Amino acid sequence: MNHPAREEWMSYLYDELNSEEHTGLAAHLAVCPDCKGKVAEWRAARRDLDAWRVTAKRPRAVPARPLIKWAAAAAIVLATGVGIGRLTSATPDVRRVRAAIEPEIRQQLRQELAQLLREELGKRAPAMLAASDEQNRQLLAEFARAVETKRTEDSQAIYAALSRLESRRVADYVSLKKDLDTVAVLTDAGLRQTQQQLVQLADYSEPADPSNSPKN
Amino acid sequence: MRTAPFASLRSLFAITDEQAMWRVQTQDDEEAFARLVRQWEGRIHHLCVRMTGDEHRAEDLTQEAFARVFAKRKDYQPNGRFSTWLWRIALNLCYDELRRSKRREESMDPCGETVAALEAFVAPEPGPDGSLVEQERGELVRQALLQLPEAYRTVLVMRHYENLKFREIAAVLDVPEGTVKSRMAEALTQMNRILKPMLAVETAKSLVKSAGQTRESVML
Repeated sequence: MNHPAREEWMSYLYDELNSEEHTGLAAHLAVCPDCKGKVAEWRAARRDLDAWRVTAKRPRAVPARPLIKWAAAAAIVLATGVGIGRLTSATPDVRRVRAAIEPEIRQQLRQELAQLLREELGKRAPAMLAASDEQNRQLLAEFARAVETKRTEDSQAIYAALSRLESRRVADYVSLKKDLDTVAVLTDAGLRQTQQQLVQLADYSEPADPSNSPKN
Repeated sequence: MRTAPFASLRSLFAITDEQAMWRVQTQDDEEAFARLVRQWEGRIHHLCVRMTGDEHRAEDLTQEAFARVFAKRKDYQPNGRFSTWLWRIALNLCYDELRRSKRREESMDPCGETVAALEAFVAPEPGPDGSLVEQERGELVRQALLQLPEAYRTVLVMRHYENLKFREIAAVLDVPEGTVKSRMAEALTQMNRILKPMLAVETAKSLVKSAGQTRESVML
């Protein structure tokens, strides 16, 4: 016969088995004198153990405040329940009383949760603020860097445009000067020609009029 | 049954031990700590009495256990159960105390006179109802329990007297559940072996005494 292990018997004695396991062990116990003997010994030990009683520890004086608090809470809940029960019907039924008390309970729970949340926020907020401050600083720095880059690019573009303008101005100046030179040269040539013509004109002597020519 | 609705209402507002301990840990919340003490000091006191066999010393140990809980509040792991942590602290204090008292006995009195004196000191007095026999039996159990090895006594006290499940004991002692159960079986076997002759003598004594009383009353 396969005997259950003593570990299993401990679970059996202290009622830590599901009903199926329990039934199985009980069935074995009914037919196995060996196991029956062992279990009987353990049971006897358990009975003997109960003979030692320890006097309950004297409870300390409980501070009055929590008691008052509980009494107040109980009174509020009770008063609400009774009040609403009376308003709705002469014979209060459980469901209605519960429905009446529920908003009260919800309200209190909500307040407690809100309180917890506030405390939590109070603790976390400085850290979060510090974190967002840091983030802001980083964003600002990034923004400043971007602005700086853009400004440099712009000024480079302006310089390029200026130098382009300058070079065009120089070219124009050069071509103008060339034109002026040409004009000057041409004018000079014209003047010379005119001068020459004037000289020729001055040198021009009328052909000798025989009547006017000196007589020799 | 009348208290049941009120109890469930109370439990709606009550915080768990773990939440209370979390408050003690993070905010040094005295009210939460007082709540934990109120909730647990009875059971911790019982554990210390059963483990050391000394009710007076157990009071000090209980106070010491809660002082240690407060001192070590930063070590508490919120993902574990508070009770597991508390039982472990109390048990360790009991082990320390047992070792100290063993050393005291050995150094002070090798002939065992102190033990006799101690036993006389804690010997039960008859109650107002004269339930001497019952108290004497209790005293025998106390002495028998002290003879068990610590490992067996711990499991027996926690399962039988404090009503913890085997799996909870396994968590406190950090050993497999099977080990706890086999220690329990061994503890019960040894208790039976120790107690049987002691109780037989006690029963015989009380029988003789009651027979004597009967004879006296008959002669009168």
